[in-house]
Amino acid sequence: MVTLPAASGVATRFAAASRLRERRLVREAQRGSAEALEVLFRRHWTGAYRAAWVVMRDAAAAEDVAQEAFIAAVRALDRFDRRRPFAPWLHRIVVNRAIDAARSRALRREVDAAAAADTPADPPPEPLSDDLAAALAELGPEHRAVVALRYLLGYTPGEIASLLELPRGTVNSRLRRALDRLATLLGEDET
Amino acid sequence: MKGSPSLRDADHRLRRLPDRPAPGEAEAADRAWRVVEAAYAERPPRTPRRRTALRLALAAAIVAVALAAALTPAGAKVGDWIEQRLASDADTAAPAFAGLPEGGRVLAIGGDGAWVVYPDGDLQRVGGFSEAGWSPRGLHVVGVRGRRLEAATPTGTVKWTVTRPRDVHRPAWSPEDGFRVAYLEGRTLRVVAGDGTRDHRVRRRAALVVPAWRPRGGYVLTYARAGGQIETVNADTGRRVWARRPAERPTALAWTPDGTRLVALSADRLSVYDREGRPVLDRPLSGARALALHPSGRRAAVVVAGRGGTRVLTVPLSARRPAAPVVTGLGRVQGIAWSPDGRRLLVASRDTDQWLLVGRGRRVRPLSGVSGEFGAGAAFPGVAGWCCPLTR
Repeated sequence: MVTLPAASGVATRFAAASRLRERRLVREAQRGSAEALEVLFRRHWTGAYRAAWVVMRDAAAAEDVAQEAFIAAVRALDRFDRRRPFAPWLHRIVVNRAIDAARSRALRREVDAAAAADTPADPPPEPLSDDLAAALAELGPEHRAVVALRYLLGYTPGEIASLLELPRGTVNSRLRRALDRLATLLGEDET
Repeated sequence: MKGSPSLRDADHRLRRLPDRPAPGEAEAADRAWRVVEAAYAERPPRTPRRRTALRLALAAAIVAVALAAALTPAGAKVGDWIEQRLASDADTAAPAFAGLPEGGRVLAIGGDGAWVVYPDGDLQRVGGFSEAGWSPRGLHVVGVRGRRLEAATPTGTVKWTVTRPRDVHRPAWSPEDGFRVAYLEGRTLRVVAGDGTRDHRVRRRAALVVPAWRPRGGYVLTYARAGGQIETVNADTGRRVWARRPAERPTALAWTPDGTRLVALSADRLSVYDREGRPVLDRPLSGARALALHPSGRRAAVVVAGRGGTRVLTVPLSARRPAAPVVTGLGRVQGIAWSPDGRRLLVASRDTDQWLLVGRGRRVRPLSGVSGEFGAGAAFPGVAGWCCPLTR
């Protein structure tokens, strides 16, 4: 059983204040404040970029995906309902785009390999820095996506299900399989 | 966390992910901000919103509801929160769809839209479509909802939308390069380019049958006319290639993958035509309901309803060998599809809430309780297609 730190009263109040500040930033950005938008951008870039990187395993592709997600968010800013938190909205765009991009790359590589050996394919994934990153690379993009949402961005399985429009059982089984696979791969490295 | 030391270790190391910077993230932030800032500067001016009494009343109602929620005993809400937190210890029950073979993804249509079903049992909702089909390589799904035709990725990102004055139906993506999509708006046959542009009318007075694209050579498609004829036309020029008047109104059309044979199903027969529309086979088939052409193009699976219940037969297309029953004694069948490698047939059996996988030697493997995979009370998911291996 996973145990997470209990939310203390202070933490809850801090989170509520943070949400209020964010709501204010979104309102100001909707009214035309580039400064407010930059604060939002700086606050959420790291999470968006890292999530995209975990799914894509390629810095350039992760930058493209995270950047496109912010641009999509900017374009939809006027329609954004400020009562909703900003981060899940953005993370949903990031992760779905990253999964799409990772799948497309995989398919293109297949087609390229089959159709023309001399056709330039996508660049190979970057060298990975350690065994955890290498183990993550062995998972499919959908599994890396739920790992990123759960462990990197801290969403619960129920929230992930809602973000990705998946049944809760699917999220749970993806997490379980990802964890099992990582445990196996990391165990192999140690032997 | 319970479990083996290696599981605990993996969990522990994943929990430190937020502390690890990704390669290049700081430099990327500055580059990306310049692009985002430029996009922000270029966005159209905002339309001011009117503050109405209704909005204020709604806000007051929301405050009242929030207060009421806050004042109720916290038990239920806290219970939900704890349950959601603890549920991260993922359940290990295998999903029904985990029995699907590798080498493809199934497109399912349930009560609340189209879903992609992966061979390891994963599900992904694509959109709220009532009908849908795969693009040739499975990179996209085309679906209809009301008056809208949409192309979306299998994860549900909408790529383009065409909205028409009337409801649209029966979408069909062209094979090979996937540069055209045919659909019906009411009884009008229309075609749009694969990127959502150049939407145009091809013919009026079409019957409500999925148009069939002819592979190998131009954008040529065959559709059923409201009067019962079959017509093959060039989708770009509108030029007629050939037309036939079969004995019965067709209910399903399909070209073989090599583009040499057209199979037309009607309520009581299966007919085969050559590329120029000349009849080459006509086989009585009483009670025929649905058709799935085998990837080899040499036979078809046909759903046939009769007194003894519904059966699925395989029907050879070139020789006069008899049709062979594959599964019998079924209730309502909501879609059939061949696996991309042609080794299995998937039959969606609504009355038993099962997807039946028919393999070699007509061995049937049921995937049971499929509705439950889509959530409590979900409608039975029909099968709309089975496409394309995917590297994951």
